[in-house]
This record gives sequence, C-alpha cells and structure tokens, in this order.
Amino acid sequence: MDIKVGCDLVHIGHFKQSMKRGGRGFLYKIFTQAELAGASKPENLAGIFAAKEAVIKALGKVLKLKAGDWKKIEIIKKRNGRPEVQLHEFNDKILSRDVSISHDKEYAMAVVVFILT
Amino acid sequence: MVLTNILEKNAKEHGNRTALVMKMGYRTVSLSYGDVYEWSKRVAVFLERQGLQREDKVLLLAPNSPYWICLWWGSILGGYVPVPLNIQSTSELVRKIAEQTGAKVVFKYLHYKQPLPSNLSVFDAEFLNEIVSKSEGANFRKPPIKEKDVAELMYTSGTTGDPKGVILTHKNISSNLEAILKIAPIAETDKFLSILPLSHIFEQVIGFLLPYAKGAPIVYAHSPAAIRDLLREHRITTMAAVPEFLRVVMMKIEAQAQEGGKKKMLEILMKISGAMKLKLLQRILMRPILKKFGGRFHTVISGGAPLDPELEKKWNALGVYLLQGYGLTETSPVVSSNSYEDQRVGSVGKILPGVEVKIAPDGEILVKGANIFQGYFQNKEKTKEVFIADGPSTALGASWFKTGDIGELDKEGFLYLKGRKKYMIKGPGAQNVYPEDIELELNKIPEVKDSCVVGVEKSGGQVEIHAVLLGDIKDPEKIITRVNKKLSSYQNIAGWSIWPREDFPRSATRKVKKEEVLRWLKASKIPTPPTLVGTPLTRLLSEITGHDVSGISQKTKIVSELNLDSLLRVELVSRIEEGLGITVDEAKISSETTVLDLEEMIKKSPDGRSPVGRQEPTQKAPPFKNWPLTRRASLGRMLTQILIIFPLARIFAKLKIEGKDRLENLPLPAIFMPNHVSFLDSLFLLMALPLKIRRKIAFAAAEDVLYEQYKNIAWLVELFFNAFPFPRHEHENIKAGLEYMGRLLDKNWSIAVYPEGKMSMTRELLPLKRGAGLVGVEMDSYIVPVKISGTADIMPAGKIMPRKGGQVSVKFGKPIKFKKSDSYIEVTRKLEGVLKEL
Repeated sequence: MDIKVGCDLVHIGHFKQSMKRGGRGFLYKIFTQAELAGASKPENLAGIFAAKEAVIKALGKVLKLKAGDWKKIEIIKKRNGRPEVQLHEFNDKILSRDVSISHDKEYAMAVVVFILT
Repeated sequence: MVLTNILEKNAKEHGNRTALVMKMGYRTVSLSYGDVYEWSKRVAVFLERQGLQREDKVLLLAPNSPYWICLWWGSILGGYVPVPLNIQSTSELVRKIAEQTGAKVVFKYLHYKQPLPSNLSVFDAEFLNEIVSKSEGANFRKPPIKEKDVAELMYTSGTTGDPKGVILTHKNISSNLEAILKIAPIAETDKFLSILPLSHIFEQVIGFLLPYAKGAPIVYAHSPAAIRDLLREHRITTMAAVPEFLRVVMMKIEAQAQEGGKKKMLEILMKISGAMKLKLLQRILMRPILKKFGGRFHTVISGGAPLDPELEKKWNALGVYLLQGYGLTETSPVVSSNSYEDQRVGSVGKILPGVEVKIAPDGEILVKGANIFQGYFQNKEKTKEVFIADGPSTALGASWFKTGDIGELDKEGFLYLKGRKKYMIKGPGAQNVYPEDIELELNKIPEVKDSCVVGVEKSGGQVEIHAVLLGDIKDPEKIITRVNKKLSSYQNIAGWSIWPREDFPRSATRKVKKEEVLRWLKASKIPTPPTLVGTPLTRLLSEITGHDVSGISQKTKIVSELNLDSLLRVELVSRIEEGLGITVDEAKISSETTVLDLEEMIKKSPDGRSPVGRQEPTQKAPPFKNWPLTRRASLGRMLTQILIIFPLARIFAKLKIEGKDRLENLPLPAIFMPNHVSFLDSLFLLMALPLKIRRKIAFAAAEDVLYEQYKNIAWLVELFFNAFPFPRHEHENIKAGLEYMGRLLDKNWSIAVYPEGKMSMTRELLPLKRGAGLVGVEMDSYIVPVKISGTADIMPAGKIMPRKGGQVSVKFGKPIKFKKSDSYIEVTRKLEGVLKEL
C-alpha cells in the first residue's frame, strides 16, 4: 500500500489574468465542459486548476501523467457540495482518494490524497 | 405590426421548413419555424416561472446561434424586453446595464467567466434545450402586445462613458422591415449566412428579421474560418457584411489569383466585367470565382462603416449586388439603401419609403419617421440632445432626429455621406475637413494596414490634422508627403504617429474608436513612432510573464528565467495555438527549454487549427463517403443481407432477442453501444435490429484493424455493414472520426460503435474508452447499450472463421440520453456500469 499526496496554491489574480488573455483556447485546454458548466466564478476554476495540479504532483510519476493531460483529470462537485477526483484511467490502481479545495481572497488551494495498491 | 406576428405566421404557414441552421460541436442543429415557435413559447413560460413581470428586461450576452434567436423571440413573446449585449462587454459594463435596467435574468455563454452581479439569475445559452425542457409550451398564455409597446432595448457603443439604451418599439422595427421589403425583395429560396453579431441592430434586422419574415433560412457561422466552406456547402445567396470583411475577402481572392499566376487575368476580367451592364453576363464571366462561393451567391448588404467606392466597384464587377445602406440603431436602423433597381456607387442609396430626411444648414442629416426610436432609456438629457425639439413627440408631429452624420442629397434623391459631424476638423480657412476622406487615401498605400485621422488641438487654438498609421511602416514621412499631394491643401496632414499595437481599438462593427486613439495621442507628449521591439514570440512571452521584451533573447530559458509556471505555460501554449493555429506539446516544455527551442517546436509542429482546443492529429481526415448512403447502395445492402448473409448466419446460430420493445419509440437517429467479443457481433446486431433502424445504420470500424490489417476485404465490410473509419488510439485523428459520426447523424443515420475500443478476449467488459463519454454527451442522441453473448463461442475473438454452431443472444438495454453539461468521465463510467449490469 502506498500513499501519495499532492497540493497546489494558485494566485487567483494571476489566474484571472491568464483567463482573460488566453480566452477560449485556454479554458478549453484545461477544463472539461462539465467543469466549466459547474463553476460559476473564476475562483472556482482556479480551485479546480489547483486540484488538477495537485493530482499531477501526487500521481504524475505513477500514472505517467504529463503536462497537457489536464482533461484526463476531472473535478466533479457532488450533490453535497464536496468535490471528487475522477480519472479516466488507472482507477484500478487506486484504492481510495480524496480532494479538498479552498479559496480565500487572493489564493485558491487544493490538497489531494491517493491510496494506491 | 407586432413583431411576433412574423414568428406565428411562419410557424403556421410552413412550420416544417428549416429556419435556422448552425454547426454546434459535432452536430448540426437545425430548427424549423415550428421548432422556433415552440421553443420561444417555452422560453416565455420559463421566464414567467423565474418571476419576471411585464416589460422586465432580459439580458442576452451570448454569441449568434439558433438558441439566441429563440431567447429573443421568447422574451418578446412573453411581453418582456430583451437587451442584447455584445459578447465582449466587460463585466463593468454589464453591471451598469443590469443596474440601469433592473434586469433579473442573464443568458450568457459557457466560457464567459467574468463576474456578474450576484442578484442576476445566470443561465448558459448553450444549454437552452435543457433549461426549457421542463417548461411546457402548452402553458403559454399570450399577453396582449401592441405596436407601440417596447420591443427591445439596444445599447450602443459606450465602453467609455455611460452606455445609452436605445428604446425600440414593435412599430419602429416593423415599419423599417416593411419599408425594406418594398425595395429589397427576398425570396424563400434565398439562403442567408449570418456572420455579424446579433447584438447589433444591423444584423438583427437585415440578417435575421428580413429573411425570417420571408421564410428564407439562415445559417449561422460557427467560426470565421468556416465561412468559406459554409458559403459553398449551403449555397448561400445573401449576407450582411461590414466593409472590413469585404475588404479582407477581396484581398484573399486577389492573393489567390496572384498565387495561381492569374492576377493579370483577374484584373482584365474585372475590367471587362465592370464595363458590362448586365449582371447576368458578369456572373457568367466571373463564374470560376463565384463557384468558390457556392455558385448562388448574389447579394451582399453592406453597412456599419463607410465603404470604399473602389472596393464597391470590385465587388460589383464580380457579378454580385453589393448594396450599401445607411442607418443607426436609433433609426431601427435603415434610413437609406441602395437597391436592385436604384444603385449608385459611393452613395448610401435612396431614402427608404416612409422615412423623411432633411439636410440641416451645417450639413447634418436629420431624420423623421415611424422608425425613429423612443429615446434613451432613463436618460432624458441625452435624448434631448439628439432631437430638434424636446424629444420625440407624437402630438405635434415627430421631431427631427439628429444623426450626427454630415451628408448631401443629389437631384435624384441619392444620399451621400461626408463624415461624422464630431470627427469633422475645421481647416485653416474654416473649411470642413472630413478625416474619412484622408483615411481613404492613406489606406490606399499598401504598407498602411489602416489609419485614423484626428484633429489635435495645439496651443494657440489651432487644430492640427494628425494621422495615426497602423502597420509595418518604414518611412512614414514619405507616405505622408505622397498622400498630401493627392489632397487639397487644407486637408494636408501636419503630424503623424504610428500606432504601437497590433490593431486599433475597435467597436462591434470594426469601426476604429477614435476617442481612444485621440486620448492616447494627448497622453504621449511627443508622438514618436515607437517601433515594435522583439519578435511576436518574445512579445507574447513578455506579455505573459511580465518580463521586459528587451531582456528576452533566444537563449533565455522560459521556465526558469522567465518564471513560467504551469498556469502561464498553459496560457502560452493555448495562445500560440489560437494565434498561429499550431499545437505545441506542453509536456515538451521543461526547465531547460529556451526561446530558441520553443521556436523550433513551433516550426516543426503540424499545422492545424483546433477550435475547441483538442489535440491535433498527425493524419489527414478521411473523406466523407456518400455512396454507401445512397438508395441504390442501401437497397443492395439490404437485399444481400436478407437473401444471403442472414440465412447463412442462421445456419450457424439461433438468435434470441431481448428488449426489442425498448426500441419501439426510440427517437432516431440513435447510437448503439454493444460489448465486443467476436467479429460476428456486428452481424447479429444487425439481424436483431428492427427494419426501421437496420435500414439506416452505420458501423464505426477501427481504422487500424479494418483498413490496415484486413484492407483487402475492407470494401466488402464497408458495403455490407456500412462501416466508416473510426480511430481508437489517442494519437489518431479522433476529432475527424467524431466529425464523420456527427455528419452521419445529421443525415439521420444511426450509429453502432464499440465503446471498449477492442475485442475482449476474456468476455469480461473492458474499461470503456474515454471517447464513449464524449460520444454520449456531444452527439445529442439516445445511447442504447447492447449486450451480445454467444458469438465468441461460434467465432472466438480475433478469428474470422466460424468454429461451430450455437445460440446468440442480443439484449437491448434502456436507451439513455445524456445532458450537454454532463462530464465525459462520468458518462463513460455510467455506460460501463450499465453494460456490466446487462
């Protein structure tokens, strides 16, 4: 059994700037349609981005996830408001997972934990 | 006339005819007049449920689409007032407008993520069909609407200063529409292409209401890059355009002729054609070019900005009717227009019937008529300023509206525009100098991409005529001297500068925002022409990372030295993609990557535009084959199946079908997703399907298996199973496969695709490919999971000869329809679960 953890901090102001300058292409590169539909503010998206980064940090080597594979990770909000990490591959290697996202005025952060077989 | 009459009349008279078409994602959305009416009713019911009252404002902040139209009609139908906004509006502007109008609801588009006032209910226009699916059109009760009621609120320019809301009534717009129809007969066989934003009155009336009223279908361009193909594919006859667009297209035509070595010939042809009087003859002469536009293209209506007469002549020489018109949002909008009967190059046409025009002593164009707006929303002051008298009054006869444009009428009644009153500069001897005239001359110089001439006040009260140039100008002085020779002495340019950015600030109709240019001029003390430093790439890097351009060299390491973190890396890559249409692999950018490395990556990368930001293919897209879909091929296929193949199959196996009743009321086309254990699966699936579906179904075949491993019998499989190539590996051209599938569905063919992506050797369901979720969400069709068992006993996985006989069972699961807002990954998992359970 192996535990992998990852975390990331995103400056919301920088994120908003990149969003404005990068436009459609930028958003569509990182987020899936479901994520875009579910996020009402840029802060939410910044939090989702932080979560994806955290996942890559935690599982990057194990899953051979590389930069650019943003949409292979999906952060879905469950009905009770809690976010959940969905991966489109390697789910059989993962016994358990959890993610937590938070944002304050300037920063968004995320922490993910995976328990692997 | 109340505008909704148009909506109802068309739904009643030809409800089945196609009204609006647009490619959205992989599918083409096509709404009939009946559909539009039905959806509009649902929107009205939906808005009522949101608690809207009569005359409440509905903000529309979405790009052109059939959904936009339904939202607009729906708002009006319900007695509410739509407020169309430009999609590039800043959140500050939206906030001001929301506050002023007291709007409770806004329909935006998916990737508008700017903050919106929290008291607004926000909906995404793309999901309209889901939003209104719960609203019953039958519950719609029509409110009493009169001609004099407010139809919509149009906000005109105003990113600086306060936005002004133009109040337009049903009578304003319908009177204009009726007048236009008198001089511009539109037939229902015409086909319009819509490229200008519907948030602008020009497109609304000319590109939407005009064809809609006459039953002529409208195609919405889903991307600028697709315009050429759309013109051809849909055989467009008419469109509304701005002079900028016409200029760019003409340039492309000439550039193409240049490339093919035919430039001289083109010039000669255009000259001959220009001298011809008959449009018919012109069209025969210019046929090769017109064919590129689909062959039926015959009319362009130009507006929004002044049209260069030279450009006008060129378009006319192509055999196309280029009709220039003039108007403002405040005049609903058309004041005058050229028509098929009456045309003068350089003029904006004769005054529309029912509209009165008078030229004021200072040359300003004054207008009176049923098309004049009711005033600016909650802004009596600004309203007073634009009327001669205290506002539009119907009691004493309508007042004259001041257009702010200077013009003159000739003896025959043709109107000619001289320029905008507020931009007019007084020459040294009090002559009227129109910057537009000077700009026209400047723009004729090839190096000058565009120009903006303004009057700059100097100390001593004198006004200097100053030209701001756009482009890669090496010797501005030479250009200015050259142009000054062509102008009258009082028009001479005294000062000049070069605009330091890639383009001027522009309005929705691409007009240069002169106030902003003037402000920039006043701010910079000495307008020294700063040349652009660095290369486009280093400038982009500088903008993104905040580092000074001069500090970035080819050896600079972009990650470590410029602090390019993962967020900025994504921005960089997506902007390179959007700007150059070239995909760069993010993963290849490491801490050692230098600017030079990046340049190499860009040079070597395959050229391909991915408008939705997906990964680009290394292979070409397979061409769409129409022949397997024809009646003859279908007939041949069905006969062979029934007479030969099926009976043969029955020798080897008995077929048991379960769940066939689930297919009875299945809306077609649908997508069947079976598990895969043997090559016989497709055959037995076909046998199990009811005739209605079997007649029109196509099978997705793994490109690498069918077309490479078994390419000798590929054509056979193509014919008898109507197979089409579908990629299943990440590096293959998945997008092309999806486009192919979308096209088949558009033609009403159902699809069968194996979501596992390959045959399971163990009879256990393999994890589904990510594409399964994508197909489920994007293809806008019902998905039918199918469980096939027994085929592996007869012909095991991978074999192509049957071993023995047996029993095959085909079980149809419950058809599922997914929402556009569903997550691909979740849908894939759901389908997996459903298939496992079967």
